[in-house]
Amino acid sequence: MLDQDKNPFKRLQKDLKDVPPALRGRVMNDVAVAKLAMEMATLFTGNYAAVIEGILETSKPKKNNNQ
Amino acid sequence: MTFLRRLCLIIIRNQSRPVLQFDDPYSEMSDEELVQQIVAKKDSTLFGVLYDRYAKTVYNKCFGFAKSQKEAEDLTQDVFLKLFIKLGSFEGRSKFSTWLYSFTYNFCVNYVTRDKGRKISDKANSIEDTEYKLSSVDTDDNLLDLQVEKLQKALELIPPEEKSLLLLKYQDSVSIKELEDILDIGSSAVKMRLKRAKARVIETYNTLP
Repeated sequence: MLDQDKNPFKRLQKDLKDVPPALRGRVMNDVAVAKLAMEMATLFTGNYAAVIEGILETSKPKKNNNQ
Repeated sequence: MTFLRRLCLIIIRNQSRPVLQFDDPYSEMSDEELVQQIVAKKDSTLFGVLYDRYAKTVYNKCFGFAKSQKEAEDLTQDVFLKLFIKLGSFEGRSKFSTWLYSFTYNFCVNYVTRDKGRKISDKANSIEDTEYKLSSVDTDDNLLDLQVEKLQKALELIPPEEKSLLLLKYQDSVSIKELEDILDIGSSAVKMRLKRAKARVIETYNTLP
């Protein structure tokens, strides 16, 4: 195992650059668009099995409690 | 007068109180918990918290593979967008930070090799060529003597897959076990790849003036 103080790979990242502040806005904008696209996609990719099951359940004759 | 003094004291006390918990209400939350909530709710606000935690590290890792600041910014932006989409595939087999670094390196490697994949394979030595040198890099001690600036240049010259493996192991301190999980290969395969990467970087380093 390398001695971490002498490890040249660790020393490579001593002078880290700051992230441009505008980048956060760009990323969050992308994420908002992606989120919208993912939500839109779920509208068209429903759980068809559950939907069909639901239809079948509602079409069953209901018990008449009065009889 | 007493009222004014009291008011001043309250103001001063409020200003000197640590504001960290008000600035970041998620400071107590671990990365893994944060990821779980983001995936469950598709919460972009929480994703912003994750961005704030890792933006600097990811940006600097991207910088290591990019040719300019603009390119590094674009890479970072794309990494975080893909991260939001793929966050559900994090299974928690390793620390989130380890998974994220591997994710970032993979993205950068794909980006770098997309256009010049052929050039890299032409430049790369065959495995047989380097096999005889592997015994000389069994330990990590010979990495200690490397000069930082020269090492940086050598890392730019070796295949990006090997560069990312070395950075994961020696910069991000990822264990062999975690590398096995991330790369989905066995322990001996990880060790062999590391040996090859070390041999390559030392060989390249020695050719530099």
